[in-house]
Amino acid sequence: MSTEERAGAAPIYNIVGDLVALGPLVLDPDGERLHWANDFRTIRGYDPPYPMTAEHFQRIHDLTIAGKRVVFTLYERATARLIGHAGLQGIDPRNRCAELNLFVGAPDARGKGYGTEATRLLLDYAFTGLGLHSACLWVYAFNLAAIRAYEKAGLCEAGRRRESAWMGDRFWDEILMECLARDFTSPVLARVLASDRLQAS
Amino acid sequence: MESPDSQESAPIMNIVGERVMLGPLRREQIPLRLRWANDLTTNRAYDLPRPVTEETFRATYDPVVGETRHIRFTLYERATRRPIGHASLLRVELRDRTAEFDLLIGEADARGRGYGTEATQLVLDYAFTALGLHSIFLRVYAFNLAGIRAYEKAGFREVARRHECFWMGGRFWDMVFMDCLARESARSESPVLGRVFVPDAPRPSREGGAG
Repeated sequence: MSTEERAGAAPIYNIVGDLVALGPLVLDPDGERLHWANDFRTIRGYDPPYPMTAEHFQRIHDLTIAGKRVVFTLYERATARLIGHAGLQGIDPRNRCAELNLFVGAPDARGKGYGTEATRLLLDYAFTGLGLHSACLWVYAFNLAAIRAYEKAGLCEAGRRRESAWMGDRFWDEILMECLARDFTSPVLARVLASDRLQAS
Repeated sequence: MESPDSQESAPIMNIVGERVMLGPLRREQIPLRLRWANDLTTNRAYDLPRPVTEETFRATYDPVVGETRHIRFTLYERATRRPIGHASLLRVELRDRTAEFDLLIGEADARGRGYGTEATQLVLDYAFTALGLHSIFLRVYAFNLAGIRAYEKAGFREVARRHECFWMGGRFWDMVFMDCLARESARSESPVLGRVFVPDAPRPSREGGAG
């Protein structure tokens, strides 16, 4: 379904990268996200597989909007289509830390570097936008594409919880990856969240 | 030793160790737990230091007790039968056969006696023997040396470290992740529950045995 058919309006963006952009959360305009959520292959890196109803999906959406997390819709810039979501959870202002959360749902949007750039934009938001000091995430050891993307974006492995998740026919480790603000250079928001300049009149 | 604000009836016990015991949470322990929650030294490893009112605490009791994903025990000193803290398995995941361990010793004079080590062993025993879990993890801040030592003695080992993610006393500290697998040595023999969760032995010729 084309962008024009989707309520006619262009998507709203908060943070614009080269390949992807992040905008406010929207509820499944095409009903496509519900398909992703029911694709066991796609969600194997996230939750236990179970059939996700539209009602349950709506409830998760409502909880997300009401909650303390910041969730962006992830768009492919070239087509302006929704390809997933990216967010921060567990935002802790005193300890100045948060956890990253990334989901590329559209199967044909993978393997194009979108995950890497989305991660970079999220880190930018966490450090430049929110002034956080550190950010981390947990990823399953079988999720090789994700691990590669996170590494490219600037996260490093900080250890692993051993055999803590069941997938397929065995237990897998969960890998902790992290990034500190001082090790990250803002790709976008340092130009956006900048001071006005005095202009000679 | 008496604790001024507990008006306990006889404690109910689930798991009895040599020096500590574990039993269900009880409403009458709210004043005691409220006192622990307001001890900033005790809670330096937990939350934002702030005064916790009795009203807030009471309001959270029912939701906490009603949560089935979390399994919480009151921790007792066996010699005196007084409650000294709590020990929990949080977010028990049956598919992944995992959970998070959490321990608090609220009574200052109950520290440094090995109670934390034994409480940890008992909860691991519960996790592995009673629930059949596979991998238990915990989070502890790097400044909490007594905690780390107790967890190591009980069979946990450090597996990951989230750097500079906790503010305490003027600087950031690391969060240390420790885990323990069911097959690992420190607890390969169940200290208590291996004797509790056993099949009945067939008894020849007796009828209507124990209830």
